[in-house]
Amino acid sequence: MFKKALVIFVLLLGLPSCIGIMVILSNGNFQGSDPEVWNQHATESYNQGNYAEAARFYNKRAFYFWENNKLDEAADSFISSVKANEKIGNQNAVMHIYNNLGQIYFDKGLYERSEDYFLQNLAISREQDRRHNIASGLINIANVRNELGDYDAAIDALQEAEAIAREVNDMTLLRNSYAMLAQAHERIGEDSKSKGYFDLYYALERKLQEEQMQRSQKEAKQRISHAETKAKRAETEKELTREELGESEKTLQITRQTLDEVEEVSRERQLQINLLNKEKQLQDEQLKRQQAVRNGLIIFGILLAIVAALILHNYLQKKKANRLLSKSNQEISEQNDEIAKKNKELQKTYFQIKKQNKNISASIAYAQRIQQAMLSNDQNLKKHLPESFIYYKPRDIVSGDFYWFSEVELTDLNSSKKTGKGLVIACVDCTGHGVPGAFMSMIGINLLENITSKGVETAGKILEELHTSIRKSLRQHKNDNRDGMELSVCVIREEQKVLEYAGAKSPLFYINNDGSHFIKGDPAPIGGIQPEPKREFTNHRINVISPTTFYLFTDGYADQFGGPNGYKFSTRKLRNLLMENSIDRLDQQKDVLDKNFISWKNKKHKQLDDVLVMGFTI
Amino acid sequence: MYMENFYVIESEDNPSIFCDAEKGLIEMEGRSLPENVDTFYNPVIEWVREYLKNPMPKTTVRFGFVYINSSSSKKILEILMLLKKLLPDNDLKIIWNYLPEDEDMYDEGMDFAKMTQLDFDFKITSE
Repeated sequence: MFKKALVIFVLLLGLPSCIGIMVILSNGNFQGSDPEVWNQHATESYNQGNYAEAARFYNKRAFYFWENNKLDEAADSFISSVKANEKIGNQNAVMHIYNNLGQIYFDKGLYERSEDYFLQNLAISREQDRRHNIASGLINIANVRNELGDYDAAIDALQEAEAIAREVNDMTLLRNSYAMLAQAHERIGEDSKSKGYFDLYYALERKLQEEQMQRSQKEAKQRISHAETKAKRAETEKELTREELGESEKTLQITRQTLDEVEEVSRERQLQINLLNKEKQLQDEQLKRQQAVRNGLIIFGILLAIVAALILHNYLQKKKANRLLSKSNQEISEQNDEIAKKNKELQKTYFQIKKQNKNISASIAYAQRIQQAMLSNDQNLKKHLPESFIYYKPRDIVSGDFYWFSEVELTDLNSSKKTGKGLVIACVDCTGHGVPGAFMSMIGINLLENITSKGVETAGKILEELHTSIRKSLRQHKNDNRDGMELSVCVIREEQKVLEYAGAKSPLFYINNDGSHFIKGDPAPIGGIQPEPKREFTNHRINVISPTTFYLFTDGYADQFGGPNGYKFSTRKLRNLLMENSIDRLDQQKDVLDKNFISWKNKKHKQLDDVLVMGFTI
Repeated sequence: MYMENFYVIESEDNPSIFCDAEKGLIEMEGRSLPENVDTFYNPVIEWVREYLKNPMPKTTVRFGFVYINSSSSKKILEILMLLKKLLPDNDLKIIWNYLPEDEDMYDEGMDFAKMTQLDFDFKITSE
């Protein structure tokens, strides 16, 4: 535990210093390693007047490029650096940089520029009277001049260099001067001079090497003795350390003893603590048990209360429900009474209606008897026209369609003289069906009887009179009654072999040797409004040369919905049906009409209107 | 002046009727065989009378009957005669729709046209 703390302490102490070092490092590196960033920094510094900083970074950049053999960039940076150094008058730096520039251009093979920089370097060296520099500069210049082939100039420089080297007693410089002098003289063909310089060079070189060797030996000896001293010192230190270690061990032992004691004490304490803890635990458990018992009691109490409340609630609820039940029971029984009462009423009404219906039916049935009595039956028609039929199929018990025929006196149109007997046949569709239709049919029959009893001029005239009579008897010019009828009237003038026909919205169809013929009749009905000043009906005269069968019908048959698609049967189909069966006897034709009507109507459709079709052959 | 629309929903026995005063439109469609033509058609006639007091410059009447019994036919004739009063000051267009091949309904229309002397525009209803 103690050790750990110590380590952490050291770490804590050490950490800030580590951070400090890192800060310093990053400070030094803050421009990174990008030469362009250095350049930028240098330029900025230069612009801000911080020339020393500018020079430092130009140099840094120059050396970087020089090392990476990028000579142009290196030269540029050095030139920039020269400017910066000149600003602060650092001639010494300028001198060195000129030397560097000389070297760079030499390496690039631009010897003239190289010489130029070396000369500038020399000028500063001379200015500052740095003898060594002057000599080495001269050697550099000679070197360049050699490359330029300007050997005499090279020799001049070298001779001056030699003199200075001797003066400052720099053997290395002197040796280099000799070597180059030998080379230069050899180039210009002065072999003897060259040889002389070479000998000098050689002698000096040997001397230098010897000196070097001696120096090396001396250094080696020094190193050995130094190492020995070091070893001795180490030995002494080792002994000292050993003593220190002994002492430390002692201290450690003492500490350990103390620690043991402390541990003993703490162990006892721990035991005591444990004991106390156990006691406390015991107490806690006891307490918990007590609490549990108490809580149990409380919960039990609450539950008891809830149960009691529930029972009470239930009891109350039941009581309430009972009350409601008895109330609703009462209501139900009241309602039942009501329903029973209503039922009784309904039953009463039902019986009333039933009775009424029965009465009405009975009266309609009776009305039917009257209507039937008024309609002559087809047996009567057969007396006049043996080949004839009447297909009469009222929608309800009584009908709005009716047929009428009567033997009449015929009168001449112009002279009003009686011209003989004739037969009038009417096929009528009164407005309305059922009881109102039946009423109309009664009126119709009466009017037809009246009109024809005076004698008949033409079929058309019958219709015209019928129209005025209806309007008059129903007072249609005064009220909004629009009842009336649609009908076809035929007048058979047997002696003249002529059949007259007039139709109020009702046609005539006949079949003879020429085929079938259809006359639509006039568009105006009988009765109702009369827009025109006088209602006139067209009187058609048909000469009956060969046996001809005439058919009259109301719209009930043709308008019946049915068939496979629920369409109307249509007048066209009725005509076709009559045509198809025209060879048959008329009684048979009636049967066909009936069968066809029933099958067309089928069970899906109710009969829409009263149906009446009449046929007779003359 | 505002006039309420008048309409009757079609049933087995009566046509649908739709009268719109603002549009100058009267439409009747379906079967006409009401038990009582007066109770059925008199409200329409009333409406038309009211409409005639303040009609639209152009009135369109469209009939699309499938069946007309004889009593209804008389009431329709009456309505047409009332509407005829719109002329010549106002425009009246009567369209008579009939089902293909229903010559009887076409004839019925023709009868009305003849009776009223009004121009009917006969159009076959495409089912």
